[in-house]
Amino acid sequence: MIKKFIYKVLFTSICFFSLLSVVLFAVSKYVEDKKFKNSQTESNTLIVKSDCKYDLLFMGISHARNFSRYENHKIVERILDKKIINIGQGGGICSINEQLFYLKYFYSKGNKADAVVLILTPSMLTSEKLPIASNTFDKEIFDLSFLYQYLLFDSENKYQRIIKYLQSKLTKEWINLEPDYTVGKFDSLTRMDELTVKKGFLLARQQNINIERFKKSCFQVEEIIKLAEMNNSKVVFIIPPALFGKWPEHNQVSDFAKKMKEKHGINFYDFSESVLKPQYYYDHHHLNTKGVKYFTSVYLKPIL
Amino acid sequence: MLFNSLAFAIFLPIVFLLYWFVFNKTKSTQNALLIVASYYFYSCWDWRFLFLLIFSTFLDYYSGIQIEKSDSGKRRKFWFWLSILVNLGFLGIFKYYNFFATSFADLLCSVGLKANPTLLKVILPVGISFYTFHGLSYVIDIYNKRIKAEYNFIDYSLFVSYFPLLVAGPIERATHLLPQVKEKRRFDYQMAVDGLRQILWGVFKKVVIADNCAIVVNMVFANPEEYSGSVLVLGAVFFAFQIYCDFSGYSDIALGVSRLFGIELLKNFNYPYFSRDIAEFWRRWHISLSSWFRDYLYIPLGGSRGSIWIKVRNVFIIFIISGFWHGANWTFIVWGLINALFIMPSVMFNTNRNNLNIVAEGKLLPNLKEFGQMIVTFFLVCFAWIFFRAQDLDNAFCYIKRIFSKSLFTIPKFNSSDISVKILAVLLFLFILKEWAGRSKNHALESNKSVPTYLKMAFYFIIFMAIMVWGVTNKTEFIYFAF
Repeated sequence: MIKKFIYKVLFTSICFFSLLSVVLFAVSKYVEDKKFKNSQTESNTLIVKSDCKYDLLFMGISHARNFSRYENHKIVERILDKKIINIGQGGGICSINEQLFYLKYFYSKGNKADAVVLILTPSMLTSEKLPIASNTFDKEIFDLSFLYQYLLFDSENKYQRIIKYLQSKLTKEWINLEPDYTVGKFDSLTRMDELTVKKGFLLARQQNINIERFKKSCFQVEEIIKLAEMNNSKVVFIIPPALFGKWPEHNQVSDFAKKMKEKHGINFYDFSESVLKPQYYYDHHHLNTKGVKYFTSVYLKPIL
Repeated sequence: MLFNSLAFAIFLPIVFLLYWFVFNKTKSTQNALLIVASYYFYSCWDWRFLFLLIFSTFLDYYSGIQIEKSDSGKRRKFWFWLSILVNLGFLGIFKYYNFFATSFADLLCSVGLKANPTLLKVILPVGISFYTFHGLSYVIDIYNKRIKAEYNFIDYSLFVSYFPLLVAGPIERATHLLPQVKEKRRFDYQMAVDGLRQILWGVFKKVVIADNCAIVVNMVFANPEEYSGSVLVLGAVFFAFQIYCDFSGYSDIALGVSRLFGIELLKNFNYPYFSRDIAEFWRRWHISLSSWFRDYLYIPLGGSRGSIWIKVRNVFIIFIISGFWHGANWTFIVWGLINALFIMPSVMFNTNRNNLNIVAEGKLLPNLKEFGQMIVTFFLVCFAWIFFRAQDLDNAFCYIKRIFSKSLFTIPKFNSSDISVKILAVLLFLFILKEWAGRSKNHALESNKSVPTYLKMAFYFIIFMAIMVWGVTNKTEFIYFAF
């Protein structure tokens, strides 16, 4: 009797999960068929194909993604005259560790990039919220190889993230996901607001830097370097510009980057105070399209 | 380890397979495995408190034997009171010390004296209220010569620490659980299958209904002054379903899990929101605790016998202690008092046992009178829940004051929530329908032989999908873990 019970439970579970998988595949296919471009989505599984070769791979948080959003991608590609893929993730949902995972996923599909450009936002290495965000993969398609690789990947809050990943495919937000056709972000600031900046810092991390968290993030950044080296990609670290200049954790991050430069021979550029005019920003640390154009042609073009 | 966690989803099949395939030779091996599994399950929270659990278990075990063996009344009393006082002492220190210290300091302050209470930074050991009550009932029953002492330590330990009931009940009785523990369990196919159904229903109640209601409830109770009276009424209603689905969901999972091991636990909930009066509600809500208080406190105090004054006194004592059992906060005590006031008329006029049967038994719908009675009872219960949920008395009074304002008659408008309130309302409606349809059964998902298998499977798949789509994935603890 007990064997019958176990078989029945197994059979029912397999049926339920198979049906669920069919639904997940179907809704994923439906969304995938809408043909997204890199500039039109923040999903990486929708844009990372197999066996492709790129000149540059941008990664990081929103400050990296900003080089592709609002059709900025085309502008940056044109100015740099390079083929670019951007796997950066904005929206406060992706930690450096998940960025490492995305890079692994990129290489696992047989893709190549001559250089990996890590937009090293200082707060990314100290944030307590990013590593536990559970909605990191909400915009990713249901892909068994992606899921399998992530199951084997060491990460905080992993299972909750996986459940949320599966759940998100069954929501109307996913089914209604459309390419973002916005061309250009032209809002701009007129001056710097100290209070907003302070609030922003607090939002990005706690009052004091958690040293353990910072060390862990540094370790993960080094893993990114090793992974890129293994795949014959050059590594470039860039601290992006901000209207307020330096982030509170700027010095620690800069010191760490310099250490990596010595140890691994990577290129490191600190552009934190390179753009200080408010008209180039749509908020205190995100460049608008005009700012992206300016920064890319003046600062990125000579180095990439 | 939470029932709604991946760790438990791995733990349960492993213990199940070991239990029925490796340790199935004798009841001793079965019990030994369950004890090891239970202690592991408990230590996942905080292994240090495992020693407290083992100490408490040993004390009650040894006291039980000494009480039974003792010839002299004095010795019996000594062991009896030692066990009672040590158990209540632990409960007092871990659960109530800070409450008494701050309340005493407040009292001194109110008469102009300054006091700095020494507060202990103690963590409440999970399940202490539950396993302490297991031990207490056991010792009291031996002292009153209702049961014999258990001489097998493993069997007794399993009675106290059996993992499905360890952290949030049901509060078992030696007369019910020990005889099952002392027999070798044989696999019962129907029981196990029904156990799985009960687990599925419990998980649905917890992660779909309770946890989504919690999002709305937390929002509303955090800032009641920001919402209209109509929203606050809905907030209280959502809390009623949150606490019911959270706790009865836990109980369903516990009972279902236990049935996989061939052990039946006491039923803890019997569709309480279909009650026609408050007395009926309390016969159907947290049955294992209500009956514990009835048997070990209310009846020894005289119960409903004696003068009206005695009846009133006993009802108040029982409800205030019941409130206090839930937590060291004045809100729980007021919640108990309100329930005592609600039940008082039926106790005084001897109408508290008017509704012993199932409402509208054998009928599709209740009649108008029954429906009205259920609605009135439900809203009385909701009113009391406001005190149960509020952070403090000020918060509760502010909430109630705001309800009874002009804004009560406005269209409810919520700020935001993860799941749309409309979807939640539809889910709640469907949930109530299913519970209504199953109100004469052990649990709402109990098999109905007249329904074809494929339809049943389709329904289970819908529940599975509902859990997948709307289930809250944050590691939310069960509310009653805090008690």
